Amino acid sequence: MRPKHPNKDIEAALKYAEENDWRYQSSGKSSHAWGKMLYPEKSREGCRLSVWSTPKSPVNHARQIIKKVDQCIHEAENDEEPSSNKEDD
Amino acid sequence: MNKNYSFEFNLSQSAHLDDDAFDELADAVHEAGCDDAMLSSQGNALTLSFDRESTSFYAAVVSAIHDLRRAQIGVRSIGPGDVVSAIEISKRCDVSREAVRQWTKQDIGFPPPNGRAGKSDLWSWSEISPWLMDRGQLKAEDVESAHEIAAFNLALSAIGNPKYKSIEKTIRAIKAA
Repeated sequence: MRPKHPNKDIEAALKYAEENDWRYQSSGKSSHAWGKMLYPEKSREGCRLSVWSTPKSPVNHARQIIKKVDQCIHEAENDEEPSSNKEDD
Repeated sequence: MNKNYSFEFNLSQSAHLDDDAFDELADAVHEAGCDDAMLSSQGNALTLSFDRESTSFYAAVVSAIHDLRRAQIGVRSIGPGDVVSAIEISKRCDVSREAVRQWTKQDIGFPPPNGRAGKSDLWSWSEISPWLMDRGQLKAEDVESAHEIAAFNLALSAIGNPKYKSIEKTIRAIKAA
């Protein structure tokens, strides 16, 4: 069980990440980070992102998280596609 | 008047950071005044995703580079990058790969590729973005961003290039002919 983020927009983004198989990791010694989210990936090195406790704009930070989650998953899917290296010419 | 500008920095640091070092870097980023950016990593690559309020894209990017320099964090390049494959074009325009294939194959003025990676053609995003805007795929501000990012990356690689001092001389030599 991970701690809940105090901001509702960021908490929603974290739930979205978890629905897409990302998992929480503590940023124990950090002063500003609430924690990290990790996406361990089979075919390439995994993704990792840092979540602020008090970002400048929680709405923007939530959006940054979602965008990175989508980006990493998309790339992972492309890696698994058999035709991804055979560009149509 | 201030607007929000989104951009990504690819950091110069290339060694893989363990989780503690990653957390330390995040703190340094925050203390440098970049709490409007999110730090992420993928393999050895470190990225900062910004949403910065400023009077212009140019000012937003320069202020962010300066903030990070005070924390001795170097910026290698700014994304989204200029070199794009057909797959990348389809992602950025949110269209199918077949649609991009049609653009590149038909005689409708799509700029020619200017590079190749194995079997894949590569295009310059700043070159093709005006064409995409004319087709309604991009907004005028996206085209502006593309050109500004390309210019910043030219500047960043010139600064990092050992032959930097001779670049001005080279430009003069080319134009003199």
